[in-house]
Amino acid sequence: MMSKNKKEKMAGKGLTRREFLKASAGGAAGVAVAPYFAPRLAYGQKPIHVRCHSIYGGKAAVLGRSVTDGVNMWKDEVNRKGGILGRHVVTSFRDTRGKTEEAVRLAREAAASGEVDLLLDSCSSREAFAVKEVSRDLNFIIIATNSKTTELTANPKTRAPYHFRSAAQNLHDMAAGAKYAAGLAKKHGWTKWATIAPDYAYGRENAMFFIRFLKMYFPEAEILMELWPKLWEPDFTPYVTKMLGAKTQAVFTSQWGGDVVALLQQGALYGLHEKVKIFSIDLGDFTAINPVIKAFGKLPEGIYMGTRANPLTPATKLNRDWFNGFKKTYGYEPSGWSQQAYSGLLFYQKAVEKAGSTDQKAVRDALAGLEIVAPWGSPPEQKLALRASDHTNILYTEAWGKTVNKMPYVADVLTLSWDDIFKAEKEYFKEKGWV
Amino acid sequence: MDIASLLNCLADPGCMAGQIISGIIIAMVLFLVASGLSLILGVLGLLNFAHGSLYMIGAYFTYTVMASIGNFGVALILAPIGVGICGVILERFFIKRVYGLDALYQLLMTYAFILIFDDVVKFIWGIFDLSIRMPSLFRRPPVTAIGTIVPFYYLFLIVVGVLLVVAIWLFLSKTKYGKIINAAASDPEMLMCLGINVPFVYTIVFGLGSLLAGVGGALACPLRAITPGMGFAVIIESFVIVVIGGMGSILGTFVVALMFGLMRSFGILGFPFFELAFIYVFMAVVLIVRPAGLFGKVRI
Amino acid sequence: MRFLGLLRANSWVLVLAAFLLIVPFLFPSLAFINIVSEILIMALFAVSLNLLIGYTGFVSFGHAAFFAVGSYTVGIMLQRLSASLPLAIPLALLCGMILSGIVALVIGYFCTRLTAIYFAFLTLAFSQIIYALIIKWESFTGGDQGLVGGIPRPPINLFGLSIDMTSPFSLYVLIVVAVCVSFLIIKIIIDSPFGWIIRAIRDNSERMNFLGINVRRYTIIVIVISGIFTGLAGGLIALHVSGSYPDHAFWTKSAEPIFMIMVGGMKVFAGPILGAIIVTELSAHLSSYIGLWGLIFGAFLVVFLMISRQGILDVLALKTGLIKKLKL
Repeated sequence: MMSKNKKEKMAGKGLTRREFLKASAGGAAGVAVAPYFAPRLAYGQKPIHVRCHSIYGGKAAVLGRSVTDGVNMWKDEVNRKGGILGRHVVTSFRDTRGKTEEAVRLAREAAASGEVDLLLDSCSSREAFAVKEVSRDLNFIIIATNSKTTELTANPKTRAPYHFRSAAQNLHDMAAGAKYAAGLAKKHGWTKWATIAPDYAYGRENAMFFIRFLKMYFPEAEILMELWPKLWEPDFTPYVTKMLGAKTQAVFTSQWGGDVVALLQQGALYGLHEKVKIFSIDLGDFTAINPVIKAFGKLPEGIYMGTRANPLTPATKLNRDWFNGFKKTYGYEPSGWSQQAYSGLLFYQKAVEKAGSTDQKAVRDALAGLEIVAPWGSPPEQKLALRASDHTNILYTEAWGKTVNKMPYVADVLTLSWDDIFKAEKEYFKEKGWV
Repeated sequence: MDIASLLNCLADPGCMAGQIISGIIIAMVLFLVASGLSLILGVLGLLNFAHGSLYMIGAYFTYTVMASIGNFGVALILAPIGVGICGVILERFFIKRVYGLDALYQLLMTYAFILIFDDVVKFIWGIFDLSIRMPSLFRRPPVTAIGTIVPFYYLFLIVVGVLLVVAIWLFLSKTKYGKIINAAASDPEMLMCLGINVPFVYTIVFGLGSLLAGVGGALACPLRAITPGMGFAVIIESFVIVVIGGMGSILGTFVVALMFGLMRSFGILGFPFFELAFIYVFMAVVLIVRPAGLFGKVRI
Repeated sequence: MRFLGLLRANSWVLVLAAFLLIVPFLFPSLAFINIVSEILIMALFAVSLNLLIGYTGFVSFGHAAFFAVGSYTVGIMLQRLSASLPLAIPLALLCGMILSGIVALVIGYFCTRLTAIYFAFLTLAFSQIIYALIIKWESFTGGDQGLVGGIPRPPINLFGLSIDMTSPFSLYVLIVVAVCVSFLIIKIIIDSPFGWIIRAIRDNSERMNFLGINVRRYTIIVIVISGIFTGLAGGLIALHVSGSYPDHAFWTKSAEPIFMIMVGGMKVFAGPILGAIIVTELSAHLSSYIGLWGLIFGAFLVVFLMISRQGILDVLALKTGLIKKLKL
């Protein structure tokens, strides 16, 4: 059993000889088909097998890396303490390459293999909806750790009993973000707003929510324009000139990764962040902060940003230790993606302990409505919950702040209250008929 | 549809100048990538899907030079040369095997290299997004003209773009080497009979095309994050421009790149939802009406 | 009688279908039917495209257009049609095929005015127009997100029998039957006089023109047939992955079957099928080498091209008579 553990551990990091040989023989039909008929291993203390699907190539490669290390961190911690229910945890990773069919096929394979106990769907929102259908078809527990699209869990018509989400959610993020923005806008009289968000589900949804809640908290706000560059847009200049041309006072953006870097780089040539107040939900992630610092020589100050995976949000010892532990082990700062994958695994761990087994139905029942303590749970109790009604993660720290050029790069942090978020959510659900 | 905001902008010289400048800027980087593609397609008849990857490698080389030497001028020379050398190696060992073959083989070979390069840069430069600082020479207040502001770096980009299009045009039409390249495009056998080493000419042309992609990558560096897969985002747009402009026509590539850039910058104002389809409709219409492209010589 | 003769001549298709239908009942394995479904669908895509590439000699870079039209037609119809319709799934698949056929007719009409690389670029332009439509027409297609919420699979009611389609096994049976029947039809078309005419067009289109054959009309017919079956493949993928996605129309989707055709062979009917098996299997195995897929798969393609300029079955067909004997 130890050797199996070791192999699995290696598999997460690259090629093992065994796997390489397996691949070499992959061409031969017999060998190729054999794995699909592999007998199910059954021995008493079988390890708990967590499978994680993510994207490891192209522009989103950074996503896969952060998720993988979030998973590895959890696994090492659990195994150091003797595993779950005395069983060791093994992990394996698969590359969906951002392709929906690949994600679906791999999810089916994992659910049907009989060897995987939990599947983490750590791709983007695109795949999340498709992978959710696998969960529904096969009654298999899948936790979506990256998709923030509210629609994924909120619409009661499409709920799947074995599907959960440990990611944050657009509705919650924007209810908090708009409240924060509205407070500042009211104080300073910023009434002329623009939004610029990537043209796909994630961006479309959060810009829609931001506008809705901004107008709710600050009715004087006027939305001059909604801009939709495509995901991975290389040229932001015409958007910048359009915003400046209309004398925009403040802009909300949900560009992330390389896109927010390019937006700021090209904006800086026109003095964008000096002339317009920028509210960026995703700049706070270190995967964006680091290249921005390289591009400017320092972090431009005075930009408002949502912050997650930051030692200050919340400013507790638990969170600080987690952040520093991650950085020390893997040599870079964790991202929101690492954090959300880690949350999903904490939920799973607690659910298995509660259920006393890894039986899918028992764990599912334990997961619904589960509460845990996590580094980014809302202080002071630092609780996170998986709401029973819609299987989504709530109570995580929703914080915004202003950029400063000093680690951890954020100051004047304001943590938004979940009571307000729930109120905003309830109103939206009522309007949609989702209550 | 937001025709009102488009009309408003057209009525305001400041706004119009601003959008024109940003359209031209989109065009310049795209032109540099597409011009190399056009050269390779026009002379070698090769569909180089890996061209976008060469642009990406140009950006990564620029990052490395900036990180070690720190001089953008040096980077602007070394990075494209590096990419040119990569192109020559690529051509010598792999690409030359698919010359003259069906487009399928060219697709297969060059697409394979998109996949390979995207993974190789991850091993060399890591998976995290990289960026470089705006070179200090250009870190100065923008120029104000016609009611709009023009960033200093953009002036530089426009100058480089115009100089390059003139230089390439002069090189291809006025020099001996340019004439050899043109001859290699139209009648390689005759050229061979004249004792000219045609495979060598091909290699040089591929290297030059790669070099231009490298220039594009280097110049884009201060404006964009450097990431694996960044070449993938520009390759189809470049092909569209080359096809509309006419394969092998540098002038056509330049004009169409400008049209493309302006259409983008004004499309964002007026009809953001049709912008994506419009360019392909345009491409289809041009192909149907004038397959050789707006500026191409008919050579079917 | 003639029909039986055709069946006997292509008995390997029947053997394949029988084998694929029996295996999962002897050894039930969800993972197996999962990968086989995907291989079959991609194989149908590749075989349809090969009608155009291998048999008629025209390269299309835009076949994803037909794949997406089939996929979205089936997805949208099943999501909006009432579930009480007795034949909702076959009806949706049929509509997908018809619509793809119509789109193919339009695209084919324009593309056949051009030759060689211009033909390929025009197909690419058309498929990207369809892609842009899918992305931007959000209220109808779901935009970038695709059709979410799953595609319902109502039971098929036939002759008083009600077949439950929600089980993965019944969907598998549907896919095997649909794909194998399509193989058979395409094979029969290829072996017919029509098939020999299009081969002659590939080998020398000018001579066919002199002989009074309307080359353009024949080419359009091939594109339409190819579009219809590509549409069926698209419809089946929508059922298989329970959703339709803009990826289905993106240009990289057009490249996938091309790789399969080139690896497997384009002059033998079963070439693209073998290619689909190899490419899909290789791709599936590589997904566990995280972050290395592109490098290994790309290297595989390059090495393949360096070793052989022909697909595997093309090479075998030249060297042995076995493939001819089996009527692959």
